[in-house]
Amino acid sequence: MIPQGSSPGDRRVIIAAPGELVSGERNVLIRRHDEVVLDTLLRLGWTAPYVCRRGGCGVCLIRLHRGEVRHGPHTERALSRRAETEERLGLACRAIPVTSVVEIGFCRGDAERQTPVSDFTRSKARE
Amino acid sequence: MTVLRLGYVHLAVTELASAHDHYTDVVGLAKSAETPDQLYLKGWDEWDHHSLVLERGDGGLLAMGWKVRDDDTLAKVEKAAQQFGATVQRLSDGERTAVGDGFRCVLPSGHVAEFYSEIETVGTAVGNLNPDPWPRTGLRGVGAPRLAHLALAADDVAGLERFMVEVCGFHVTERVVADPDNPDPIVSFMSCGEQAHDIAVQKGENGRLHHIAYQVESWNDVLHAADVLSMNDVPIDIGPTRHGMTRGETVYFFDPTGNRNEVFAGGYRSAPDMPCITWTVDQLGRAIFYHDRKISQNFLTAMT
Repeated sequence: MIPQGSSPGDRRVIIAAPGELVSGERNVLIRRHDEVVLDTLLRLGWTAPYVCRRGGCGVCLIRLHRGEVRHGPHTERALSRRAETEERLGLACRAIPVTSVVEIGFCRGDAERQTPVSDFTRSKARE
Repeated sequence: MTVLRLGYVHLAVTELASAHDHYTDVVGLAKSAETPDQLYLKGWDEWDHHSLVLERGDGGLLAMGWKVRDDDTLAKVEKAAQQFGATVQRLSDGERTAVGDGFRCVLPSGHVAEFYSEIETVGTAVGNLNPDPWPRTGLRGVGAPRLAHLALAADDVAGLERFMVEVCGFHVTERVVADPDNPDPIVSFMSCGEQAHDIAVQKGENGRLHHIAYQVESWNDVLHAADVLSMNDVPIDIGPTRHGMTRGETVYFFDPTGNRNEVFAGGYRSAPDMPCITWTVDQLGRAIFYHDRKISQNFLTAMT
């Protein structure tokens, strides 16, 4: 299951509710209401390990370091109830934060910042 | 010809309602029956009662149904399966909705195969008397006419290949091998008729499903299918593009459980006397996706 060449990620990302002030932290992303963790990342120009986006393949496995999430439908094989409750693992494609701040890391590679959306929109505005 | 075709696939889905909407509104299948726990669906150009069974479960393949020519052939395949060493379980008429007598056996790869010679006939959406070329009304989404093939993972690719060839009468159309002098397959494509493949097997974890594929007529239909997928926010895995193996045109996507689906067009005609086409593993990227030519670990490893 684990893609070759990737190591368990150690980069942590913070997903915060709209209007939530998180100071002194890096990699803080502001989510939209009822948005799954993976969609927040992708919408803001990040990428992360994922494949099916339907809770079936388990590639987007995350570890929850802070806060709580609830999960949409997924297979037990991709994320078991035990892994979810005891090991605090989750699936980025199905996890919706329920606390104002959650901190996560990906297990099968790292979340990576791609073209920053703000830079893109600024350069567009100059044209 | 021993086995006529892949008659049905029986998939596990986490939710019946979302699976129903995906396979009817997006893929374009029609519902032929339902029970509280199962849905039975078919493509518009298929005459048998169903080609897809959806059942609540944890994703993946519960069974695949191979339709054989007649009862004599069924008995021959059953005997051959027993001689191969497979444990065979008889299935009687009516035990499976709309399907007649047959048997079930577990393949060397751990997948469940069911064989039968009779299934209720429903008829195609255009009928078989002076038919229109396609249904005038009622087509939805991709409008898939029929199930084409399925792809599985097996720890021992050669073992499953031997079962399909020796027991079921398939011929091998293409293989991926480590080097041309070593025929031990890493990937094997096999056909029971004139398709370029009815089943594909790749090295991987036993019991896993890689994808099920629906046939469309043309490259343009693959593009249309991809449009439909985007309109419906269905996650597209890869494509539209072309395969090196089979030369087929393709787009891959996921059902709401994460089972991989494919819409497939083209591919050459195969025959039992056609020499096997060989790809070396250093050309695997090109063999799978002819234009991108990159090996996608996610494509090879993410399965249900």
